[in-house]
Amino acid sequence: MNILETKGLTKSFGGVTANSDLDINIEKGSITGLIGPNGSGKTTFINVVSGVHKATSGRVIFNGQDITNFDKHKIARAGIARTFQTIRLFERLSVLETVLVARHASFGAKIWDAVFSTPKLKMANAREEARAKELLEIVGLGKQHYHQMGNSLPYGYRRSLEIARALALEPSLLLLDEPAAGMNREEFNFLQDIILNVKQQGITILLVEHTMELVEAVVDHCVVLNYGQKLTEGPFCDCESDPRVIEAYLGKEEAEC
Amino acid sequence: MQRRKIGFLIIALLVVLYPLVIGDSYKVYIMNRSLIHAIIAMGLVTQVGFAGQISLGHAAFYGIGAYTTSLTVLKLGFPIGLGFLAAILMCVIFSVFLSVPSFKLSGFFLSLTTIAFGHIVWVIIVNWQSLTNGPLGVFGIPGLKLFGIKFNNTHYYYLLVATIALLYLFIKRITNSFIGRAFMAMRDDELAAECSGINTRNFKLLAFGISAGFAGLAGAFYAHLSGFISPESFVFAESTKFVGMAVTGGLRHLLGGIIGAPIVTFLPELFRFPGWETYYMMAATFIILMIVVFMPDGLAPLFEKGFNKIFGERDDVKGGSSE
Amino acid sequence: MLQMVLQNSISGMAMGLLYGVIGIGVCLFWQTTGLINFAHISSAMLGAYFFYTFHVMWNLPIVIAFVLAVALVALYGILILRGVVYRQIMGRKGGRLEFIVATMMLNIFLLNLTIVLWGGVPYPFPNIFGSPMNPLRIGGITIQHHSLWVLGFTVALVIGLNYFFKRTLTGKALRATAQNKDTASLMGIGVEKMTALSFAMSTGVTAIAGILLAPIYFVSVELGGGIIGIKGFASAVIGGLTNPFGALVGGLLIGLTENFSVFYISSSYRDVITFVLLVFFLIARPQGLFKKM
Ligand SMILES: Nc1ncnc2c1ncn2[C@@H]1O[C@H](COP(=O)(O)OP(=O)(O)O)[C@@H](O)[C@H]1O
Ligand SMILES: [Mg+2]
Repeated sequence: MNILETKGLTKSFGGVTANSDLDINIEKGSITGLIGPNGSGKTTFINVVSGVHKATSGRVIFNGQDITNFDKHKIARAGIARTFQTIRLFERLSVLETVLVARHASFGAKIWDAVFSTPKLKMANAREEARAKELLEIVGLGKQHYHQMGNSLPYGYRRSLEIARALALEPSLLLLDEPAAGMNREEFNFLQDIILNVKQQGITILLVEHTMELVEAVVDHCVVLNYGQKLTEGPFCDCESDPRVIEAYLGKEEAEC
Repeated sequence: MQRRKIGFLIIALLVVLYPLVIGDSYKVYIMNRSLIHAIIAMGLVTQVGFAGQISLGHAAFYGIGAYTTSLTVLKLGFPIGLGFLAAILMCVIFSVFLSVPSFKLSGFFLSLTTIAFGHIVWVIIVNWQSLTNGPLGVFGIPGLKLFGIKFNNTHYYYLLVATIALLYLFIKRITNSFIGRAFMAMRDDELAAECSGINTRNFKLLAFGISAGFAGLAGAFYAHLSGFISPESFVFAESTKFVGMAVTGGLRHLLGGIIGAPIVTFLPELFRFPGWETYYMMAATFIILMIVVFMPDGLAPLFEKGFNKIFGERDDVKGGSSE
Repeated sequence: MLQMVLQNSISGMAMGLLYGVIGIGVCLFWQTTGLINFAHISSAMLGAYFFYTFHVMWNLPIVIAFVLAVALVALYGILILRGVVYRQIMGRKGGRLEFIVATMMLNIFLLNLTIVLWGGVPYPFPNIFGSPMNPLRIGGITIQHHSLWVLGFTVALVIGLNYFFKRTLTGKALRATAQNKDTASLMGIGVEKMTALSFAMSTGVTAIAGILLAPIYFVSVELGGGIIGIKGFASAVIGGLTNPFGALVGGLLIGLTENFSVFYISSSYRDVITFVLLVFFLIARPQGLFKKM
């Protein structure tokens, strides 16, 4: 069963068609890799699915429901969480608070609970804080980090924090945009464990990544984009050896040199 | 902990004794004016400092509040308490108009929109003469009374102090809760907040609503305290002054408004030496400019630090508040 | 009827061009900094006061007084606005909010400084741009000499700026900096110098607007505290903020709207219509009318 299906999804920015007529299916419970050279439209795909950009045409079906161009927060609450290629944390929030932001809807409290500091809110606070700590544990952020500012963490931890914030939505689909970019070996290995761990909890993952080692190690299925179009899809090893894919990557590199 | 309690007690005592020691009715009147401004600045701290939604048009809400209570009391015969409520309600309703542009705009564009809003309201106040009596203003607004005793400046002072204490508790509870977290997330990165499931529209409405309600309440106080209102109290320069107060005190500090408003009000008085009359406003605005440029967190953190130094730190201030 | 339309158009145009010139200053600032300076209009006020001081009080020739006044305001732009306020706030990675508030406070301080230095009483501006008492009359339409001067200055400014941006190396470098600071820096352009230059140009151009506004508003703090500055912002926003010449069109639109709304609706609600126009543009067309230059 597919958790996410896009039908003819197209996004253009003025003259540039960043996503062109994409039919992409993501099977429930799987890790799908979305690869392709720089500028091929991977981030744009995540942006359209998560509601950050409005689709020019085409549809996004999530769990059988058409969610095309829904508001970002509605998509998030429906169960699609994401991270960002360039890390976006909250400048003045601590690690724990950052995760709690995404727990907002789970509080089940109203403004009056805050004003009168009701027992209901106190219970919700305790419950959500406990859950946030669990999530931080999963991504490897321990007690000593809870009250540090998110942006003051080392790079790898900041990526982990973004993942924890995304997981705090209790999503059924997690969109990761180049999570391994800029990581050192140790962080990289740990990230791999996190991803497999998340999968094990039954969360479907779409992984956009340039580090083929990671893609190879974790994905079940692979989709290759080039110039906004789907070039091919299939198991990773098939994609990797596909001459069109090799040409797309090489052609790009030559052009860049 | 004991020492901190003593510290709070001393401050409370100073606040309570102030009008009794000063005894000077005019000085207390000026203090009351600054406390009224403090209410507005507290609202701005919530809206601008915590929720990140700038407003340079708050004089409009101040004016709407003042006129609403005056006109409902004078023309419709409302009791004053109901006039206060009407003032707050009217401002909250108007705040919806102003928050709708904020769904789309932020930063400079939002600030220009709020300036435009402030001007439009002001021009309407000046020109809708049949309702507002135009530039001449509204006279004879009755003062507050309790058990048949007319409020003097000292009574107003205590009422304002109590009101501010309540409002402080209100914004403290809100900003320290999941709502305040959503405010700050929205302020720091709107997109990331929305992708984390925060419906920023609701929080913009809430932030604008709270601070407009505060300004409306302040306007109502002002009308009944002074007995006379006219459009010149609600011009653009007043809006900038309110923001200046919030920033001087500390835009991201809960005490920012309460500390900023009296300082900005009384700073010029400090420079009123004989022979210096022409310079005092310049000197005061220069100091405020320096605070804004060189001390982005305002003066409240300094006060907090000073307090902690004298009366000891809070035990739970560092690390693991709930551990 | 036609005559009234023409008369209103001409009066509206003169005022609109002045809003537009202020707007050009706003754009020159926005181009390189991505910020709006809320002390912008105080440059106009300072320009008018300096000119008045040099020409009327010190009896310097008009041209010298003019150049000195504009240069002095530009110097203020580089040394105080950029050297202190901008540098402090951007140096600690302060946000737009801080810059908005700081420049607002700067404006208030400059108003008070002006009151101390020159007193609060408005000075009448000498009739160097022609007396309002004997305007040109062409077939029943009156045209103030001042309006013609405004038109002349604006045309000269447009030609000068156009030449500067399109033909000179510095102008091209400034445009490159406005497009992308990193790329410009890689190309060997001194970004710091370019920023300083844009501060000087922004404040200088606004000073010129101030001197031209003085015959209408007198040499008074009204120039620096009133809502003319907001109308300058509005012109720039309507023009698209990134295109200085768009600001002129924005200014004209505002000037004409004002004049016709005074004529057809009521003078009391003149500013309301301007601000509604501004908000309409902000919401419906935040990118303004014109593309990046
Ligand atoms: N917000 C945007 N505005 C204009 N063009 C964009 C925007 N986002 C992406 N693009 C363009 O869309 C294309 C695809 O970009 P992107 O999705 O970021 O690629 P990838 O993530 O695969 O590297 C690029 O040509 C890029 O310049
Ligand atoms: Mg990308």
